[in-house]
Amino acid sequence: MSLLGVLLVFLVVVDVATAVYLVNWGPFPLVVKELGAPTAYLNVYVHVPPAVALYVMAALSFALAVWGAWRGLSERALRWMDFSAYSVAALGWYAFVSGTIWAAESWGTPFALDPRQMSILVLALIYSLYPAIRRGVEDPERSVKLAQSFLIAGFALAIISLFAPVLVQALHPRPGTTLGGPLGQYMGMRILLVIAIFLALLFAKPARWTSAVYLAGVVVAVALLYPWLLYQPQRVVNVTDTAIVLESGQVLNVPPEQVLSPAFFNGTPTLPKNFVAVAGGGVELVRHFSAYVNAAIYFAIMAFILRLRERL
Amino acid sequence: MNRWVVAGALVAVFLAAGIASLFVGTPKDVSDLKNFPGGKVRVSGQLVEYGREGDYIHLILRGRDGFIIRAVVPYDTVVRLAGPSFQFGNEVVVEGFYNPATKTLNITTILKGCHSAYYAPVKS
Repeated sequence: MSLLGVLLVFLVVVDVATAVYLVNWGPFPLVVKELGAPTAYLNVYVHVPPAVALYVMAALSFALAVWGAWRGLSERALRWMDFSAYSVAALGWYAFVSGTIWAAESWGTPFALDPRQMSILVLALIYSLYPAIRRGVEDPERSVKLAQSFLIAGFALAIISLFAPVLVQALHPRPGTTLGGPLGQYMGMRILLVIAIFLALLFAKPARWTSAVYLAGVVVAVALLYPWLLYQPQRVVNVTDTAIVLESGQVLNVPPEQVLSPAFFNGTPTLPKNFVAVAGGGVELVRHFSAYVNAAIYFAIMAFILRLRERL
Repeated sequence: MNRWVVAGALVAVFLAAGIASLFVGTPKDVSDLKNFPGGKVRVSGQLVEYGREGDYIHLILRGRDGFIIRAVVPYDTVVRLAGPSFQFGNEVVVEGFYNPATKTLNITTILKGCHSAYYAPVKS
């Protein structure tokens, strides 16, 4: 295996390990003025980095298409162009699906018809036509020319999607917002990591078993959903100094401090809107399921992208 | 056909699709409900006041030309989603069923962005 191949395996292992660690043990907002469980914001570690990588790959496919139309492309550069376009399609679907799952909790509804949500759906749909252009047009030269035109035009969609929250009123935060807060350090590192994986994939074909690392990640992410499968967590609607009030009306005579510390921040209770489960005689904070589900989908999509790269 | 011409034509098509996608979910203004026959609607308005009435929270929303409606939502729903120390902002976007006879919107969904959560204090 080449040095770059070893580096790729290392990056993939770090990607799975950091995603799993941050989703299950990483920092999350203590108090959220907006809707839903604060732990749903753990999604920033698995939703944002692939979404940023999507725009990087869209820019790369655009640059290669323009260069190819102007000067022509080598076989290798043509493979890069195809891989970047396929990646945009796959990551576009992931960004839409994972964002929709997260939106159900944090925006109040899954299909909020938010400008970023809808524009990323259009982008994913249109980039999904790319394989048809590359495989459906029999004349190879014509196929490449059409693909280049397609990717040059497709970049307009990426620009619209990227700046959608700036162009019109949106529920989605503006580009760069998430990097400014305390969650940004870990998320920023993961953004760089995911981009590094995609850049490494341009130069190194993954070994066949590399995608198995991501499939192992799927198993771990699903396994971490166990409190949702075994303990029927309930949402906290209020707390006192000595008790926790659940959505069902049940009152647990447990100080909220024992479940989430600090129990109050600037006078605001931190536990409400979160989910807790009664397990093993104690009360445990249960992180929102959407982050685990999105982690599992992310790993599955990355395994798919790696297998795709093997064949190019 | 020249590839740049094809690219230009595709840019026009993709731009149209992309720009249309930005406005699919744009809510109506409260003032637009003056001529709305009733039914499900997503609406945005300035919050004049809100308060609790028994099991419900009522919101008075004003449109751009001053048209006012009353919107109601179960108190439990708000507390479940927004917590016991919830606060509505100046601009409210909600979805629900509007009855023009009573100028009342029965809210089914409160829509709210997540703009400030990223700057919140963190639990490590």
